[in-house]
Amino acid sequence: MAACLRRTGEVLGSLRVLRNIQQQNERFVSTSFPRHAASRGDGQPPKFTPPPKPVIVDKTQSEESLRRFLSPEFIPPRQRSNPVKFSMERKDMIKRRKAFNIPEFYVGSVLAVTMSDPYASGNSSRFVGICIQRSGSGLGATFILRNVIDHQGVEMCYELYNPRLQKIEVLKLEKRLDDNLMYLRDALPEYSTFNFDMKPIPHSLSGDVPVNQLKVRMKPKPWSKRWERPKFNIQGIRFDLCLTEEQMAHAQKWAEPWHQYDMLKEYDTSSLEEQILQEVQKGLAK
Amino acid sequence: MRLSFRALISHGRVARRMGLGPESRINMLRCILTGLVRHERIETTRARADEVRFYAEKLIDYAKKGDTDEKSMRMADFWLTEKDLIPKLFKVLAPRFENQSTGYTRMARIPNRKNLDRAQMAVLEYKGNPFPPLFPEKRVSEFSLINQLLKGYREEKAQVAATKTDSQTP
Amino acid sequence: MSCRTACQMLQRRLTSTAAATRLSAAEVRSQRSALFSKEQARQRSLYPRIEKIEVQMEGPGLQGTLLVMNKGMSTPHSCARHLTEWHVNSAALALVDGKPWHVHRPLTHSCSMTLLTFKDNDPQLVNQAYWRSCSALLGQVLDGAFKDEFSVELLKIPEVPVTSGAFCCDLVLDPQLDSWKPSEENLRSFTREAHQLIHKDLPWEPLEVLPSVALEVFSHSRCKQQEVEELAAESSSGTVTLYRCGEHVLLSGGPLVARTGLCYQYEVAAIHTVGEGQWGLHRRAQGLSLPTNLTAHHTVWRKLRRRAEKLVELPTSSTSETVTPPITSQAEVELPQTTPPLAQQ
Repeated sequence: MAACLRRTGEVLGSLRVLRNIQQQNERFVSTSFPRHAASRGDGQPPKFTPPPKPVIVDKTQSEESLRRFLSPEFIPPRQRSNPVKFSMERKDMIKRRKAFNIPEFYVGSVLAVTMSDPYASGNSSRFVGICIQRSGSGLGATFILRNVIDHQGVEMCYELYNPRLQKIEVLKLEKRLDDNLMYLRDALPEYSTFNFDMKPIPHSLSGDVPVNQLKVRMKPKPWSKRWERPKFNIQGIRFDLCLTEEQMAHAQKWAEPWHQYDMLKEYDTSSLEEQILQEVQKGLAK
Repeated sequence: MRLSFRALISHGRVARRMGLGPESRINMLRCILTGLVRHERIETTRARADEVRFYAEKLIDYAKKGDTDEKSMRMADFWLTEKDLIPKLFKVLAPRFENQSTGYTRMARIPNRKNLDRAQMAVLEYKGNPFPPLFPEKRVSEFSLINQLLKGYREEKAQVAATKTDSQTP
Repeated sequence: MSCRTACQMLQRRLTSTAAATRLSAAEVRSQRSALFSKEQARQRSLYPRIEKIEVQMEGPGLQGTLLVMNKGMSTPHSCARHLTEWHVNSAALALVDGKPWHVHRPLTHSCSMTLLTFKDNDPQLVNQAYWRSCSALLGQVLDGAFKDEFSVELLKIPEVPVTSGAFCCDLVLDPQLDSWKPSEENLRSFTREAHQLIHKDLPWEPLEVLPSVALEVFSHSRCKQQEVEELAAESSSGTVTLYRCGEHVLLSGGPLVARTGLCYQYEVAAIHTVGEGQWGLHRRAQGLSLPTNLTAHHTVWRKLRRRAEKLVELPTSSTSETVTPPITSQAEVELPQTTPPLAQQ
C-alpha cells in the first residue's frame, strides 16, 4: 500500500515537473516571439511598443452601487429655515463621504459597524445588528442598530458622520415592509438576533433592493406603543396572532381618513431630491 | 400661550385650527372649495378664505395632471362634494391655467360683516372668471405726461449714442 | 442816486413807445387786473335772465348723465361739482362738442361735454395745455421776481411739444441785466416762488375779449400789443383769450388747465440767452413740471431735470433767431459752476 502511494507520488511529481517545463517553454516562447518578429522587419529600426499598463484593482474598497440612491439625510426637513445652512452641511457631508465610505443601506438591512473605542481591546469595537431606524438630517444624521446579546436586547445609535466610525459594512442589504422597525422591541427576540460572525451576503449592484416580506410575531401586550393604531401604518406585524378582530376594529377609531387628502401635509421632495443627487454626485466625482 | 398666526407659522404650524376639530375643518373647507369651483367667486370670512386659497391652488395643480391620473382624480373626488363639478375642474379650470404655474386665485378684503359678529370678510376668486374685475385695472397710457417725457429722453439718448458711433467709425 | 436817475431816464426812453407813462410793475399788474374784472363784469351782465341749457356728459361711468345748467354762468367746473369731488379735483380741461374748453369758461349753448384728466387714455390735449400753463406760471414768476427798477417783458409763449423735455418762456430783461447770468441760487428762488403760487391753488380765469379791449389791457407794453394783433389775426372769430391768475393777466394761444394746484413737481431748470431780437436780448427760461398723481421717482426726475437744462430749439418760429452754438455750450458749462455774484439785486 505504502509502495503504491510512493509510486503515485512519483508519478505526480514527474507530472508537476513536466508542467513546469511546459510553462517555462510557453513563457519563453511568448516573450521571445515579439522580439523575433521585430528584428525581422526589413532593416528598419524596431518600433517600441510600451508594455501594457497594469490594472490595479483595489480590493479594500467595496464596489460602488449602480443604483441612483440618495441617502435620506441629504433631504432637508420641511420647515422654515435657512437653506444656506443645509447647503453648507451638504458640502461637509460630501467631504466626509470622500474620506470614509458610507455604503447604501436601508432600514431592515443588517450592518456591522466598527467604531474606535479607547476602552475596548484593540481600541475598536464592532457591533452587528439590524438597522431599525434612520433619523435626523444633515451632519447629525443617525441610525440605530439592534441586536439581542445574551437574551438582552441591545440598541446602538450611531451618528453617520461621526469621525470615530472606522467602518460600516453591509452584511445583508434588504428592505422590510416598514420604514421604521421600532416594533422589533416588542417582537419575539428571534427576529432581532443576529450572529456576530455573520458573513456578508453578496448583493446585486443594480436593480431593485429586495424587500423581505417577513411578518413578525409579537410578545403579548402591553407594548411600548400601540402598533395597531392606523397612524403607525405597520405592515410587518402578524396582528391576527396577538389581537382579536374587535381590538383591530377598535383601533380604527383613531384613523384619519381625510389625512391623505390634506394637501397641506404633503411634502413632495422629488425635484429637490433630483437636484441634491446631482450635486452630491458631482461633489463625489471631483 | 396663544401666539399670533404669523408666529404660529414660524413655529411650524401652517394650518389654522377652525371648526370642531381636524375633520370638521377639512369638511368645512371642502364645502367652501366646492362653492368656489362652482361660482368662481365667493364671499366668506377672511380666515376661511385664506385657508381655502391654498387648497384651491393645489387642486388646480392636481387637475393639470389630467383626468387620467389616479391620484388627481381621487383628490377631485374628495374635494368636490358635488360630483358634477369634476368635469368642470378638468375641462374648464385646468386648461385655463395651463400657462401659469402658480397664483390661480385672488383674494380681496372687504368690509366687515354687518351681522352681529362683525366678522372680517374676504372675497376669493379664481382668476379669469367672467365677473367684473375686483380691482380697477391699472391703466398706463403711453401718452401720459411722464411717459412722453421719458420717451423724449430715450430718443435723445439713442440719438446721442448714434452720433457717437458715427463719429467713431470714420 | 445819480446812477438811478440815469437808469430811469434810460428806461423812460426805452418804454417811450408805450402809450402811458412808466408805472411800477405792481401798478401795471393791478391796472390790468382791474380792466380784466371790468370786462368780466360786463360780459356777465350780458345774461340778465337765467336761461337753462342741457349738458350731456360723456366719459367712463357718466353715459346718459344729463345736467341742466345756466346759460352764460355755468362752467364745466360747476358741472363737475354736480358729479363727484374726484371730477372737480382731477378735471384739467373740458372737451365741449369736440373742442377744448377751459374749465372756468362759461358755457353758452346746449352741448355734450367730456372732462379730461391727466390719466386718460389719450391725454395729449391735456398735456399740451399743461405745458402751456406751466410756461404761463413761469412767466408770472419771472414777472414778479425782479426789482421794480428792472423791467421784464414777457414775449409770446412758445409752443413746444412735451417730448422736447422742458417748457419754455421767452422774455426780454432790462438792458442793464444783459450781462447777468442766473445762478443756481436764482433758479432755486424762482422755483420757490412758483411753489408758493402752486400752493395758493389759484384758478386761471379765462376771458374772451375783442382785440380793442386786449390792447387797452396791455397798453403799457408794445410787444404785448403786437402779440394781441397777431393772435386776433390768427383766430377765426377775431377775438383773443385773456387769462388771469391772481393778479397776473396773460395772453394765450390755447386753453390752459384749471388751476395752479394741478402742478406738483415744478422746477425752473435754466435760463438761456438766445440772442438779440426785436425787443432786446432774448432769453429763454426753461423748466420741468409734473402734475399731481403722476409724479416721478427722484432718480427719474433728476434725469429729466438734467435734460430740461439743455436749450430747447423751437420747431418752426425760432428759425430766424437760431441759436449760435457757442452760447449754448457756454450756458451748459456755466451751470455746474459755483454761483456767480448776484446781479439782479
